[in-house]
Amino acid sequence: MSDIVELEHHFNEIQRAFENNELSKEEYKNLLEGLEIEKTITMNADELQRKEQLNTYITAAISAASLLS
Amino acid sequence: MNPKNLKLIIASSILLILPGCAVVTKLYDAYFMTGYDNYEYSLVNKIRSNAEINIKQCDSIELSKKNFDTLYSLAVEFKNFTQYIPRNDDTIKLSNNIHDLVKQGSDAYYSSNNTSSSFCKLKLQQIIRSSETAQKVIGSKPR
Repeated sequence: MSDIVELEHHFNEIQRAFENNELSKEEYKNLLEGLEIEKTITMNADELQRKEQLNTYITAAISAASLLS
Repeated sequence: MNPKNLKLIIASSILLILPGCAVVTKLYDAYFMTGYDNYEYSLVNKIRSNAEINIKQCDSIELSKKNFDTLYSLAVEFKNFTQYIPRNDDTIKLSNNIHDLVKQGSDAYYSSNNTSSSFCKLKLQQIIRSSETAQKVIGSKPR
């Protein structure tokens, strides 16, 4: 499942609980703000992952070059 | 092929992957990024595991309040632990985000005496998903 589809699914869960009176207005707002943070966490994690991949490429390239020199 | 030429080709290839002037900064950040830290990983794992266990106790407001207190302590420790580690910007951001998310849950129990079981479950699910996302990337840091 893509990140967007997943977030939409979680939004619908919160919406459904609110419509069924399982959540107060404050709880509903709190959970929606939490979804916003979740979105940011996904973006920050992607950024760190890209950095890790680049680190792997650089390290591999340096090792390969060192072996040949 | 001359090894010196090969080095040049490899270095140029990496430089061509990224556009513009940000290339050098990105390469520097990536190459010198902070490596894997066992305690950092352990803290995010504790937050996730506690949340997974606590979800079964959401029907009790008293227990849930205590559980969110414990989670909040762990989240503060995680945030503070990462804060001054050099070249650790992305993990600092993640620990701040997780701290904010857990604080939302904890605050709800201090602003109301009737926090619902549904809120508890949905908030813990947010914490579980987010800490798992963070755990995956923290565990993949270079050794």
